[in-house]
Amino acid sequence: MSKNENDDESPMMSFKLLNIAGRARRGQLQLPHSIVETPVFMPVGTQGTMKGVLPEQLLEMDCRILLCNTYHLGHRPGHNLVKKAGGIHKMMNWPRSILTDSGGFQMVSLSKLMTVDEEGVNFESPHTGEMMLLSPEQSIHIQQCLGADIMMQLDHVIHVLTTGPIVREAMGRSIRWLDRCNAAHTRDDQTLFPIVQGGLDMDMRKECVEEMAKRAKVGIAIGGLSGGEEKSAFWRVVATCCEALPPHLPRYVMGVGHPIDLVICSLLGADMFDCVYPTRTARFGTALVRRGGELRLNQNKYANDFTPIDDKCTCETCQNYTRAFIHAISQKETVACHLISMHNIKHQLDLMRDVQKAIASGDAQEFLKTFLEEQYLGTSVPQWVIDACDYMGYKFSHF
Amino acid sequence: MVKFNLEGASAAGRLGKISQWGSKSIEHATPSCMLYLRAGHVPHLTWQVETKWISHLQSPIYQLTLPSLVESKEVIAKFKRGIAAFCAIPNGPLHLATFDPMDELKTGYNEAKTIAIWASGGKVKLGVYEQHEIVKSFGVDSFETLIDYDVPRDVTNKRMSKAMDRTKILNEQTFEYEENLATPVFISLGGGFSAFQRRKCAVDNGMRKEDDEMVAGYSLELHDFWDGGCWDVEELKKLLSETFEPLPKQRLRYVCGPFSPKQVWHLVQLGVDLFDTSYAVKMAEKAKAIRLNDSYATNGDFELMDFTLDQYKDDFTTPYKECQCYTCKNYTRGYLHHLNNTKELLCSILLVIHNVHEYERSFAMLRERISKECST
Repeated sequence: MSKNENDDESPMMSFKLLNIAGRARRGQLQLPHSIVETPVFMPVGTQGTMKGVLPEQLLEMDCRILLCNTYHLGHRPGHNLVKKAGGIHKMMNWPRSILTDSGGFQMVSLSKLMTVDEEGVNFESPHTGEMMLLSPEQSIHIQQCLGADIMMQLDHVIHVLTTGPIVREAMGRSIRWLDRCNAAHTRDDQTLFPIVQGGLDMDMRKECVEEMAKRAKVGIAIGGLSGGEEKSAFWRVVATCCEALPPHLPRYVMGVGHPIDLVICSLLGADMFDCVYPTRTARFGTALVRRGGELRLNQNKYANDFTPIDDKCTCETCQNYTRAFIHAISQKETVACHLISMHNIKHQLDLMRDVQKAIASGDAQEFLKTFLEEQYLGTSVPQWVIDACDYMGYKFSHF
Repeated sequence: MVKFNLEGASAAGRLGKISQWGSKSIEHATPSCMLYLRAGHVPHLTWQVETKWISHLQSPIYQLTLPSLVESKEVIAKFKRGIAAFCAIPNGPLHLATFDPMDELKTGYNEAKTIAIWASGGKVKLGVYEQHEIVKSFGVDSFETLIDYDVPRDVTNKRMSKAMDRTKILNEQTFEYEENLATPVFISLGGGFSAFQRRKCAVDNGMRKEDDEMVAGYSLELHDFWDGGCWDVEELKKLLSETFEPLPKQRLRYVCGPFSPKQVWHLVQLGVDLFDTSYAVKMAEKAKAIRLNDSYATNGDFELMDFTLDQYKDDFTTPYKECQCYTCKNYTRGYLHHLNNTKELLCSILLVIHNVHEYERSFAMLRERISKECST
């Protein structure tokens, strides 16, 4: 069926709210390739593979959705080749859901020469040196060749600290581009998420939410964050957008992945997150732990430490390997990176499952208290976290 | 002890069965190969991936390689539970190889009582005492006597006889220590390119009583012939026959090194029983997949599929449709090309899985051929 016959897109895609605890929501996002339990962390497999991890290993930890990058796949192997391979799911042997970004963000961050006009993003290909245009129509065309469950609209990305009329201009343009993306979108087994813009200006964010929510079908994203803004501004934008958005749309905060950000944003009412952090940090020998946040396994203090990364963790790595072993092979063998990546991805998925449980049982306050105590282990909790907790009505006397 | 039963021999090679390896009972038919490990792992595979996604034709004998482990010897000694637990290696016989067949051996570093191996931090001098301490704390099931391997083709007579003397002393010292140690040892046999010295080395070191349970078998030193080095079948034939001729026939003959399926095919004919899978890993790291021809057992022919070549870029067929490995059942040539092109870690993972599977299959084909020849 074409999308004109059914404006809600196909019944393959829907979002169901299961529980609400304060501002936080637990839900189920039905996508063509899997049901995604939210709040959810989506690991990033940039080039059509989760670095060093087999798809089956992700299935074993019950990962339901991955993110792949349009910009990278559009260059290598190229969207036409991915289409020829039968789509991104088939090419990479991943049977569950995938989200692709628009490709615009990487153009801004990876291209030296980049200009934006009403037609689209003009950029110099770092591979060929040619000037190229990415229009909203082209972005959708590429993403339809890739075939992910969720596509992202092309938006006009500006640096998060930009101020002045350009912020409004970029917002207006992003809304117009959303309409062009929608018009170009023809596959009914993919949905398209709009991206709320508006910088750090709360009024503009609300305005953008209103325009974009009207046009959203299954879900919506909060964009333009995680670009070096103050944390105090970051959480307020997330809070403002979540408050303004209608409840039936899952809210995807792009580029968020540090455990504290995941927890605070989930409690503020956000539902989806993605970040390269757990796998990138793994390649530098850093494991994520509830107690204390990070374990830099390259440090000499782990050379004779015969305990697992986290003795409560049930991942393959923690069941079989010691910190001392990983320390011994770190930066020498790719296996070290695989072992830490497996642990870190499981850490993020488990954290989100715990958030879901806390929302389901209604004891978000108790969960938050334990989480913060473990994460900061006697060091002080950052002010922005205290402010956000205060805003949400969670009180902790000992901060 | 390593219990090896020579069951038959033909022009194609020797057929045998290993039923005991140190403290471990196994059933392992030869010709075969040990599973090459670096840092206690099949390179690029965690043990969870190895055990779930490679199905071995026989239960593996693990070949630990010392260069990737020697810098951890103090930690492993403190750990007290042995190398298998430290590296999470599944249950099975563990052999400690002195050299890493994936690395080059440099010339000019061996000394009177020590030989040189190269770890990530540089050269490590290894003497008989250090080796025994390592064998004890690692808790391996077999190891190899140390050998002065530094006898290239252009070696002087003086340097050659010095190497022969050193090897003999290292061998004798090993068996002196070995009286207090119940770990079977492979007697290393060298002699470089000299047929005379090959025979002398075998006679000097290999003539221990046939019922000596400390002797696991013979370890043939052939690093100058490793894949990429020189390869002259006639020369090898002469060197190997001089080595094996004076020695008891029923002992297991092992050679460490990356040898192509064709080279294996030759060496099996020349009487070698046991190899290792380092060639499979070496090719995977070069983005190449091994495929044996159907006629492999009779002519040793195989091919390599090179995923660095652009001809595979838009080829979304399975690498080899007859292959039963995880990689061939789930991925395409085009995807492997993409993974290599983008330097993704998954490329090596998938190709190690395929190549180890295919490399082990070559031995099954050779065993079948020898078995047929022996029964007719």
